[in-house]
Amino acid sequence: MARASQNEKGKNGKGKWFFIIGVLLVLWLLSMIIAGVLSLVFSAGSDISAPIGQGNIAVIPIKGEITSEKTTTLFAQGSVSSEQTLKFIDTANNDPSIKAIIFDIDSPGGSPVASEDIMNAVKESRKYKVAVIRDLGTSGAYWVASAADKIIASRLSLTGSVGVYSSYLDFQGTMDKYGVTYQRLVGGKYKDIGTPFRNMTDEERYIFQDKIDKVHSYFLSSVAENRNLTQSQIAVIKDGEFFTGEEAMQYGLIDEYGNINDAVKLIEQNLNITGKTVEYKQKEGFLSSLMSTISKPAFYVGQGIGYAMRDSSFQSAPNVRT
Amino acid sequence: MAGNAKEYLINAGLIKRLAAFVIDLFILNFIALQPFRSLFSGKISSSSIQDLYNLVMSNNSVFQMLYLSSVFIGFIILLYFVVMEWKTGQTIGKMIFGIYVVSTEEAKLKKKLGDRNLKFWQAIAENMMLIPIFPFFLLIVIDPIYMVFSRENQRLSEKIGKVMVVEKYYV
Repeated sequence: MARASQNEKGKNGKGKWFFIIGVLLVLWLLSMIIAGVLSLVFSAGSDISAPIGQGNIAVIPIKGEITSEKTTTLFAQGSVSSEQTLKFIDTANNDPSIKAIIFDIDSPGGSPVASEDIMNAVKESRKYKVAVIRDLGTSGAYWVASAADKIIASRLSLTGSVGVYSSYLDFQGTMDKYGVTYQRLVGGKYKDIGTPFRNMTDEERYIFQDKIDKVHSYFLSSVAENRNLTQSQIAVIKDGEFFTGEEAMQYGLIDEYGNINDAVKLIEQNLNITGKTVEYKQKEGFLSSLMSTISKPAFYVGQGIGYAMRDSSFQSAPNVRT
Repeated sequence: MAGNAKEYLINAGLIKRLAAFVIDLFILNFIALQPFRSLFSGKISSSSIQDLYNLVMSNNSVFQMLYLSSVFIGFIILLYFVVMEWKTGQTIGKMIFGIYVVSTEEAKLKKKLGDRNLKFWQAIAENMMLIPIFPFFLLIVIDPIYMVFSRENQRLSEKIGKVMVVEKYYV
């Protein structure tokens, strides 16, 4: 009888410990699941990987052609979107542990509007800003750099190119050769200005050149204002020529020779801090990578066809690039 | 206890209760906090409290993540105490120190401890201070103050839940 009671007690004791281990296991699993869900929810809302509080100098990359939105092709991802860069700058501005921002530039420029958006954001940021030009920091990319407090470049970097260009293809000769005619139906006589299917008239060319001159004038005056350039310096850069780092130094387009490490030293000296850089990147989770791989090629094929159709039939004005 | 010794239930000592709670917190650190820690690793490591405060106040996403995490962590801690005390009358910390949560009625009648001593509502009421919602978390401050002035070392939540924390005493 006593043994039976002891056995029962032992069973109860074992059962109790099984129960306790079970509870702990369930709670641990529950914590893991909730933390995982929260991680997914919050990473879905943000596509920025900017470790907060892990450094005091944000490094924001500006690499590739500057566009308004991120464009990705199947084989290359050589662009930087103003949308993404503005998010980076905003994140850095809102992080009190970030004392300075380095703009790591290797870009030939791109869309004037996107470049101006980034330039304005750089200008408005209250952090100490240093632009580091690597191989290339021309045109719109230089415009962005000009808004920083200091510009550092290598002696061999290419910079400047403060100009605007536009171009269009003229297929009229080819069409004449094959007996294809362009039947012009427009509402508004300048609507098809720049269409590749006929020669541009002198009047249209004048209008187009005038727009480009206006964009160029604005671009030039903005760079001159950002860099406090003298009239003689403006005279040198206004033709849109690109310069090596050495020439750029001579014309007041850069402040120092060097690289990112020199930029960190410069910040340390100016702000009297010990610099620790933190690189801002676009976050690519597993799911978004997978979706991107599956959907983007198809999307961009469709987008390409759409652009081709739109450009040839409705809006044939050439793109303006800085 | 062997022989003819008689079992009594007496109020558990404050030190024992505190030590049991610390042990439970230590266990919960692994169970409830560790998974959430990985959620913030690489995102937040501000050097000063002031920087962290500024960061949380200025960054809505970080604020929301911190808030939701603390709510869920609170609920998991609450679940631990409620389920363990409801089903066994003890948490792991209490087991180590041999103390039990029993209904006041049971303690007053000096009954022997049964397998399950608490009703579910009593287990919840006893741990109300862990509910991570206003106004329950105010009990974190009110409960210990009440306990100091209580003759039977009862927290306010225990009084409401009609429970007592006791230990066995043999004569």
